[in-house]
Amino acid sequence: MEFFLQLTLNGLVVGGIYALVALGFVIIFKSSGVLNFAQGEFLMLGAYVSLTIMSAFNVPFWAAFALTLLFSVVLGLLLERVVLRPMLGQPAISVIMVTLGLSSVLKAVVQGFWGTDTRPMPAVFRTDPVMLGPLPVSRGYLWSLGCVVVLLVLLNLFFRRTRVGLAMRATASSQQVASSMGISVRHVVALAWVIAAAVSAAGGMLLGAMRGGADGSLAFYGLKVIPVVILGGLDSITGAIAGGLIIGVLENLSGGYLDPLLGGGVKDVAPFVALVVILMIKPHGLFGGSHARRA
Amino acid sequence: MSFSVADRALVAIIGPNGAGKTSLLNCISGVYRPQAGRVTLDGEEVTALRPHQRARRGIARTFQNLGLFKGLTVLENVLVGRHTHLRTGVLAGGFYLGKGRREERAQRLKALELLEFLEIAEHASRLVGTLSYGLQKRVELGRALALEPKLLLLDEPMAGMNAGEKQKMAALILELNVKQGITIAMIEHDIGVVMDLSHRICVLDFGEKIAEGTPLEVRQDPRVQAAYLGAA
Repeated sequence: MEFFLQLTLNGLVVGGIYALVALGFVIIFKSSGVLNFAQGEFLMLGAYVSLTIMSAFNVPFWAAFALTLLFSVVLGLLLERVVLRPMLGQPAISVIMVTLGLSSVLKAVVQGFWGTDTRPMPAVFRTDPVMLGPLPVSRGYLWSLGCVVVLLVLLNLFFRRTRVGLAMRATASSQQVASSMGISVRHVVALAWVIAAAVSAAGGMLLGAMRGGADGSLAFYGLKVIPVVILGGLDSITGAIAGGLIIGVLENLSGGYLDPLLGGGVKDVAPFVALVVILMIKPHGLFGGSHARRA
Repeated sequence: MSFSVADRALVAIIGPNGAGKTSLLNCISGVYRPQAGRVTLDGEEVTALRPHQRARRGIARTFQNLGLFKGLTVLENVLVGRHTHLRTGVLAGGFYLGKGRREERAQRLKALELLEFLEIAEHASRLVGTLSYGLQKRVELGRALALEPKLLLLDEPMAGMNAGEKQKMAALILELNVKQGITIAMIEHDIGVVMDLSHRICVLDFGEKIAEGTPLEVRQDPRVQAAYLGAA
């Protein structure tokens, strides 16, 4: 039982991060119809930038966290302006190819700047675990889960209660109608990139802090998020969050129980198996499709 | 062709299917960029402006087959119409702090007042897609009014309505034009409504204006009778 709880908790922690990154993915898709294949690189870059800020300026993690978010905001704006704006009016598939190129470029930039070895992150959390009843839980996991929850609540508030959030939802529903209401669709798309870059960087920093370092493998989280968003429904924010948590838990449970039996590797395959099964039952994903309520 | 709407006037645009009525409206609201010609509002040229910039200058519109944000509530749809009147920037408005929060509340009240005027306040928190067609049309009108437009473009405001709903919509449009002084250009197929409401009528056929004048003049125009009313 303890083993099960431990696995579930770990799954929720990682799943929360999947949810964040998936959210960025869905926001871009909803506002502009583009799948952003550079999402994982945003995450990796976030981890590297934060560890560099921490070691170079010797500031605490929370300050580095805030500065890295700021960096991502600027990065998102810049990328939208320089890379994506010129693609306006081109077919979505061309823009998607551009994001693939962007992912290669970002990966190369990171390797050029920080090298290919794992870069250690200064210790962020105390190493002694917190006891949740009988269950020892690492502090990093709890902090990470807490951060993810706070970010998700803030984003939800943003979309429900603010004029800009409302404008983004309106644009997701219909670009043409939104613009006839005085909403600048370009600004909305730029903001979508900013949010996507920022939430991914947040995920990258939390992962880096939990693992104690950053390396190129962080970019794979961008690929892991694809089953998450397809599972949840590409156009559903609720789906992104639910999908993230489901995939995270599933991955850990299947890894924990089946890896010893099958000799490893189940963790990486399980999300895709689940994806195939769920898509056979619900082809638009759990929350996607025309009948779902857009969040 | 040339077409103008005088301040505080209510002009109807009529013509057979495919005459270019909606295209004309799209040129005015900025969805289409005309290949030639100019669009001016209050003497200011807006031809080069994109739709959202024209909306900010006071052009609001409704759509022929409803252009509502389906997943949003009635109130939220109308609030989107208030977009141009909100002043807080991305930061304050985005993070729902102090000023942004106060302003958001004030806008909510404004939107609710509008819903009351349109007699749909009781549906405020319902998803707009769950309402009847006639009510959805009214929500769309409300959203356009939320912009506090100088010029209101209505694309078949009464299409698909039953007689009672039509009467109510006609009364609303008249009230907006007469009491609130809103300038209106309206595409409508219901000739009875068009004759009753409009100051002037513009008749299109195959992208050309074939007649323009008061309802009486247009009714008596032989070209109109031939092209549109079907009387040979």
